[in-house]
Amino acid sequence: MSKPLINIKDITVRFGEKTVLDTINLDIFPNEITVILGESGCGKTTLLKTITGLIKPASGSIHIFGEPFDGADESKHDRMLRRMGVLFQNGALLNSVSVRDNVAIPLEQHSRMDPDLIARNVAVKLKWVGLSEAEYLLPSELSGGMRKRAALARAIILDPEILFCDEPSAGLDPVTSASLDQLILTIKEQFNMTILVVSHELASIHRIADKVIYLDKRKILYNGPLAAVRTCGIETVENFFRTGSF
Amino acid sequence: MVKQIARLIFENDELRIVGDLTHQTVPQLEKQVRRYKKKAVQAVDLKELIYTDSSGVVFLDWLSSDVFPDIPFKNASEKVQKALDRFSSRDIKIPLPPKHPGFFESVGNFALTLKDTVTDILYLTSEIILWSFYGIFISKGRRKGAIAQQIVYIGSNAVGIVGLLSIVLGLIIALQSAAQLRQYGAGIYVADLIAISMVREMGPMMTAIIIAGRSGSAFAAEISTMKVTEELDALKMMALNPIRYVVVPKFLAITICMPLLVMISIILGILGGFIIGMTYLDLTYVSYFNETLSILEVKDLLIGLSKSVFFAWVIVIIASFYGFKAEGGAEGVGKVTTSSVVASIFAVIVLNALFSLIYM
Repeated sequence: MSKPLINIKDITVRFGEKTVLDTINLDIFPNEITVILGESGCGKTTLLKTITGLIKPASGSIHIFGEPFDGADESKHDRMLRRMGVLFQNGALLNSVSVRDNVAIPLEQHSRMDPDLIARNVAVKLKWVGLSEAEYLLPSELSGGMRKRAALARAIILDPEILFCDEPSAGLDPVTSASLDQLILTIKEQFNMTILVVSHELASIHRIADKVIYLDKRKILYNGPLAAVRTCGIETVENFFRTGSF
Repeated sequence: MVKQIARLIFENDELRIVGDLTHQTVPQLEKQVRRYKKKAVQAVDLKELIYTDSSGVVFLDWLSSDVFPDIPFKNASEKVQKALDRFSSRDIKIPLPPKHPGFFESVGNFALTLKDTVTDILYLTSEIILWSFYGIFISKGRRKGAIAQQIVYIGSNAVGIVGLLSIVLGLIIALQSAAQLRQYGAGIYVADLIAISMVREMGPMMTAIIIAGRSGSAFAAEISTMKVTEELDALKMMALNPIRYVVVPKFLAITICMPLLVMISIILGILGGFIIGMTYLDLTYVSYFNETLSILEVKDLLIGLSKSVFFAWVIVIIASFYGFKAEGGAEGVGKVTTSSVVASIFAVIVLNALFSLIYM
C-alpha cells in the first residue's frame, strides 16, 4: 500500500466552547478521489478548511506530502500550498478581474514565466474546462457552472498534486453538475491528482468517489470504499445512501 | 521537497533538455533558449527530460512554434510523449482582448448613457415623490415604524457629528475673519459674518455633506446589497413596491431631519463664532447676539432651511439611483457606494452654487 499523501492525526476543532470535530484520524492516499459527506452542519467544510490550513485546529496534527503542514514555517507552508489547489464552494473568483486574469494569478505570482507562456497556459486550462470563449469575461458575467469551471481552471493552473473541492455540485443543475464531475474525473486521470471533495449530492458521489468518509456528530462514522458503503453495517450511513437513492 | 532543476544544452546543432519541466523550471529555460535563438537548431532532444507538467508542454509547444518553427522533438520517453499528447497547446488560439471603443464610439456611448441616466433619475424621482405624498393616505405596502427608525438613524444619531463639526467650523471662520476685521476696529462684524454664512451657506451645505457621507453611503450600500442578494426582487414578488417600501421611509425621514440638523448646525456654528468673539475680540455676549439678530432676517433662515430640504432629496435620490443600479456582488456594492457619495457631494455643492445665484 502506498504512503498516505495527507495524514490527519487526532484533529479536534472548536468554535468557542462548541466542538465541531472531535479527534479525527484520517489518511488520504494518492491518485484517489475521496469524498467527505454527511448531513448539513456535520463539519464537512470545517474538516476541509482545517486540512487546508484555513481553520486552526485546537489539537492534533496534519501531515501533507509526508511533512507537517500545520507547524511548517511560512516559506515551507507556501511551497506546500503551491502543490495544492482549492475549488471553493462559490468559486471565490476575484470579481474585479477577468476570467483570464483570475486563472493567471497563481502563475503570475509564483513563477517568473514569460507573459506569452502564461497566456498559453491559461488558454490550455480554460480549454480543459470548456471556457475558451470566456477569457475576457468578468466573473459577474458567468453562470454558476461557468464560475465553478473558471475556479477549477485557477485551482489546477499550477498542476497541483492535491485538489480540494468544496461542494462542487452545490447549486448546479444535474447536467452541469454531471459535466463538472466528469471534468474532475478527467483531471484526476490526466494529472494523476489526489482529489478530496466535500459533497452531499449522492449522484455526484456515485459518479466520482473512490472512497467516502461519512461524518456524523463530530466523528468519522465510515471511512472506506464507495463500493462497500451500502453494506457497511452502520445504520446512519446506510440510511443516508438509502434515503437519497431514487 | 526536492528542488526541481532543468538545463538546456546546445550540442551538435541540437538542444538537449535535461531534468524536469515544470512551472518552476520553465522560466529558467526560457531565458537560456533566447541565447540560442539565432543558432541553427535542428532538433530538440528529450532523452534526458525526466518529467513534464502542463506548463512544460506549453513551453515545448512555444519552442516549436514561436522560437524554432517546426523543430522536431526526438527521443521523448513514453511518459513525456503521453504528457505532450495530453496537454498540447498547439491547436489553441489565444483570443485577443476585446477592442476598446474609438473616440466617436466613446462619445456616442457617453451620450446614450447620459440620456439613460437622466431618464432613470427622472422616473425614480417622480416615483419617490408620488409615493411619499400620495402614499401617506394608503397604509398598505409600507413598513410600520420604518420612518421613525430612519429618523433615529439619519437625525438623532447624526446630531453629535453635525454639532461638533459645526462648532469647529464656526471657530475657524471666526478666527480667520477676526484677525482681519480687528485691524480696522470692526471686530463686532464677525458676528454678522458668522450669522450670514452659517445660516445661508455653511450650515446647510456642511450638514448636507456630512449626511451625504454618513447616511447617503449607507442608503446606497443597503439598497445595492438588497439588489445583489435579490431582496428587491423578493419584494416585487410579494407585490411590494421596492421604492415605496425601502426608499420612501428614508426620503420622508431625511426631509424631516435635515432642516432640524441644519438648525443645530447654525446654532452651534454661531456659538463657535461667539467663543472667538469673546476670547479673541473681547466682545460681550449681549453685543455679539444683538449684532447676530440684527443682521439676520427670517428670509435668510427660510433660504437656508429650504435649501437643506432640496439637498436632502438629492442625497436620497442619488443614493437610491446608484443602489438600484448595482450589479456583480460585493464588488458592485462597493463601487456604487463610492460613486453615490461622490455624486451626492458634487450635486450638493453645485446645487448650493445655484441657490446662491438665485437668492443673491
